Amino acid sequence: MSVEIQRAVDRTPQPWKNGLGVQYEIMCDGSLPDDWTWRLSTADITQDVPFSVFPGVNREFCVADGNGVVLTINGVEHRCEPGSITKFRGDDEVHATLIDGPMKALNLMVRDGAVEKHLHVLRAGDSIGLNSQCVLVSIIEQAILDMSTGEVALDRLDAVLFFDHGIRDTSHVCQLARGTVAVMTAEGN
Amino acid sequence: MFTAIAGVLAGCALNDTPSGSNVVPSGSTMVEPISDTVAPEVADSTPETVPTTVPETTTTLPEVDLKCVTILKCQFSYLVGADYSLLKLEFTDFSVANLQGAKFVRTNLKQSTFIRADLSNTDFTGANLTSANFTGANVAGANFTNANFTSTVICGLDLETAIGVTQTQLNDAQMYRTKGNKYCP
Repeated sequence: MSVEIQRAVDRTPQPWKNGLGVQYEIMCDGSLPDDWTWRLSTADITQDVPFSVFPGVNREFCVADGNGVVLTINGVEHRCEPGSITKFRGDDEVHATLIDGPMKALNLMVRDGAVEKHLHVLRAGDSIGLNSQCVLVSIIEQAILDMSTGEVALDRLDAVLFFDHGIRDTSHVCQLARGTVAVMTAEGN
Repeated sequence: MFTAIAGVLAGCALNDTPSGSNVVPSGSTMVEPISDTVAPEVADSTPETVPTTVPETTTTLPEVDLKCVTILKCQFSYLVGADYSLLKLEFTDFSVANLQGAKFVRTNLKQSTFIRADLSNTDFTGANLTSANFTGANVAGANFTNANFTSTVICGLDLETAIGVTQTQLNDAQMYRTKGNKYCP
């Protein structure tokens, strides 16, 4: 299995579906606007805005940088702190209200019927077995990941991608030496 | 044992994950497996981790404790009409799941999560809902008669549409305002 470090500064900005914000794709199994079954991306939220509507999609929203946001989901307000994960349906009515300044979010979208994928947050000292179904993203601060090949330093929103080349899907046990990361894992693998 | 519970909990993901003292991802859930011969009970208990097969890895780190835990996630699942009565489902994540008409009679759901789940016409009679989180759930027609609401998180619910909820139960719950200075968790 090979590992690729994807730096946040190298990603290309793309407009949100509703045109009210900017996103940066980390990984996706298809292409925009709707030719995909899952998609992992970051987004800049610089003002109070409504989210785009994605019918038939499960969404997980992680506060990856900044002081968080209040998401009003179908009329219920949820205070989303840094490192929190909020789950909702893509056709829910969602409005974001910044708490204290702009923030960056990590967004996972999985279409109904696709293999389940979910986000988890790990903190310094935690360990995890990572395989080719996983993507790891540094959030909130700089992170240092202790892998079998050595230490990897990640700036905020940098990602680690894993590829198995179709030979054998082994897993790496990694330990987070410093920082906080969000990990996307696939269920049933 | 796992096959049995996986069958009961159709639609939920059941994972074995390498686990040390801190290895379970934050926000993950654990379920206590139920022996085929265990009598149903609702009594409180401490969740247990279960040693299972250790996944193959390409490296070994001395700090890693390679015990495993079983993680049960039912988030976003379609579980209409499922019957979970008498089971012990502590720490289960039912976020955004469709559970219309499901039965949780005397189920132990301690610290389980039902955030924005559709719980319309469900039956929680006698269920242990200690520290469970019902934020933003749809509870229209849901029956909570004699359910244990100790520290249960209540926010963004229309309890007037639920059945069997008493003030005594709510006195034990953690009540949050839907809007205002104290937001839902």
